[in-house]
Amino acid sequence: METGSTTTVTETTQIENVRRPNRWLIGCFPIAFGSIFTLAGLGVLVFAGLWPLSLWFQSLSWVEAPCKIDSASIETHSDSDGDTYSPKVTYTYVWKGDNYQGTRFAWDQTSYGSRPSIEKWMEPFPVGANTVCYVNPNDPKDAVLLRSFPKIVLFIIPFSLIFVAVGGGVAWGVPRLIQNQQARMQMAALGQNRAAMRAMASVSGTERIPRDSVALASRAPEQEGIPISASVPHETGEVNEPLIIEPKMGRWMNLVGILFVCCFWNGIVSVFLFSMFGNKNGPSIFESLFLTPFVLIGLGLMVAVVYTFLGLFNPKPVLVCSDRWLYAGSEFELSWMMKGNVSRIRKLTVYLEGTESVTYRQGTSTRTENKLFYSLPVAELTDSESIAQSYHVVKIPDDAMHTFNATSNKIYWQVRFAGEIPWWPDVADTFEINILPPLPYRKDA
Amino acid sequence: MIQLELSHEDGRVGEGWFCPGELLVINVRWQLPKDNCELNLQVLWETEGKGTGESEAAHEMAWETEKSFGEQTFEVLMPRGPVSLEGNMLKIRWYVDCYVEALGIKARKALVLSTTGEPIRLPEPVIPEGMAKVMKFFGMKTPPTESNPTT
Repeated sequence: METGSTTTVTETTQIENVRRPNRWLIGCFPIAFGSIFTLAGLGVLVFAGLWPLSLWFQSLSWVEAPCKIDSASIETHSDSDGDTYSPKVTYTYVWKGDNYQGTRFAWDQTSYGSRPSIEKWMEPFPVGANTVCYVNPNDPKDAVLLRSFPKIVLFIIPFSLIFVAVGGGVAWGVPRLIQNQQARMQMAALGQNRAAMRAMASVSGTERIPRDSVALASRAPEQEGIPISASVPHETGEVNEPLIIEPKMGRWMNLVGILFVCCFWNGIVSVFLFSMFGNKNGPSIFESLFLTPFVLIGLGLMVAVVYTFLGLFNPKPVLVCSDRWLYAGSEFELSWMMKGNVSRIRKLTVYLEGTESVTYRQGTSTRTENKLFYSLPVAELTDSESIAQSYHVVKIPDDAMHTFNATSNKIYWQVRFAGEIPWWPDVADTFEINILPPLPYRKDA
Repeated sequence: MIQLELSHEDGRVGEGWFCPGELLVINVRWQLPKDNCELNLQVLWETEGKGTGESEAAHEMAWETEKSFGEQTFEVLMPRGPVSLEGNMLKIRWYVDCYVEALGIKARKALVLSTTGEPIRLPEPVIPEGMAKVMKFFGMKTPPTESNPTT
């Protein structure tokens, strides 16, 4: 047992060595860039958006007091972009027998590019005019001449939020994108580091039987003159190297697909619902009964959209298959790394599955039927460490049918990740693998 | 009348199965009602079963006959795949077809493309995990199968 633990540590070190290229600087740049954006956006949001809004809200309880305009002018601010204007006033007001002087015109402290609009704004307050201002009863030095809602915040708040969101997105998302990309490259490196992978295999108790390389070489494909069908995968002359397998259908694609179906279905159903409820006499029992199943399906689709959306945040496997070319009876090394919070996964089961799929016409509609003919649990894991990254040897059955991909008839193989997460959509990712047809017969073999 | 005979490179006849990449020797004998006909020969696979039928010719040849009777031998390499299959919904079968389209005369000989002599037979369908749970919930039995050790 102790020996086993020591081996594990050694192997972890080996793998960590493979996995840590010095690219932290690349990740720091978007964080710095995004943080500046976010901080700038937050600054504008707080000081030019939320702060005036809060003052305006407080001023609603301020008390009216008589005041006299001492001076009123328009201040010009010049810079490289041209001139902008803002109102400048001083006024004297009386509060509980004491005289005070105020300078705040309105809560909107922004300067504007149009002088006439400022003039119009200040028109009711000429010099010497007797009017009213609003005084903070808790601090009589604090007063405002015009207590109207600062409309500028309606522009500033959303604008600054865009800055915050974009900056935050860059700072949070880009390093993760880079990290994911690095993970793929590192897994590819790990895939090539057969020594590390084999050692891991021996730790996990599985030992890969190496393919008889001599026999394989003697049966090397000689495809001259042998016809190739487009419906069957073949070697393409590339080296048989580890392969990073992409998910069969990305999670986003799943969401977009289900969202489209949901919108389409509910869009049509809602037309009938509106027309039914728009009726003066209300819906009839027959109409209600007829529409109920359609509405229930629509609601189910909405639940499915939410479910799929939540599934986007599940840990995501990055999968490496040790061999590009797989044949019936061959063994390959399957290693993966889960990106995200794997501690949420209670149990992860990885399956190798083979499926028959046929498409046919039935009346006017086209149907596709799938039948799973092979399902082998490659791994059943419950401890977070193994779920986070693991390695397993998988044997394709000797009598397995190779991948077949015609227009209406298919045989496909996939590796399926099924992770149980309590109170959350489960991990459900599939990765298609190609099993090639048998190597060609040679008379002397 | 058209007669087809399939044999291996070493002359063995009658087994009817060939390995991927193996040389297939096709002997065609014909006796037609008239001279100067176009004969077509195809080595092809066809899908049968529940899905829409599909087919693809791995080899295709056509030649003109001068006389109404004759004989010709062809040698072709069998492709890598698809190998012969007997699935639950999908079957892939290989044939050698020879025909005279103008006269509506056709001869067909079935063969098996396989490494074992038998088509690959897919196991009984596995009941998906979700379905198995539903069946269990309703008290229905899901017998374990060789292909599905999970049930």
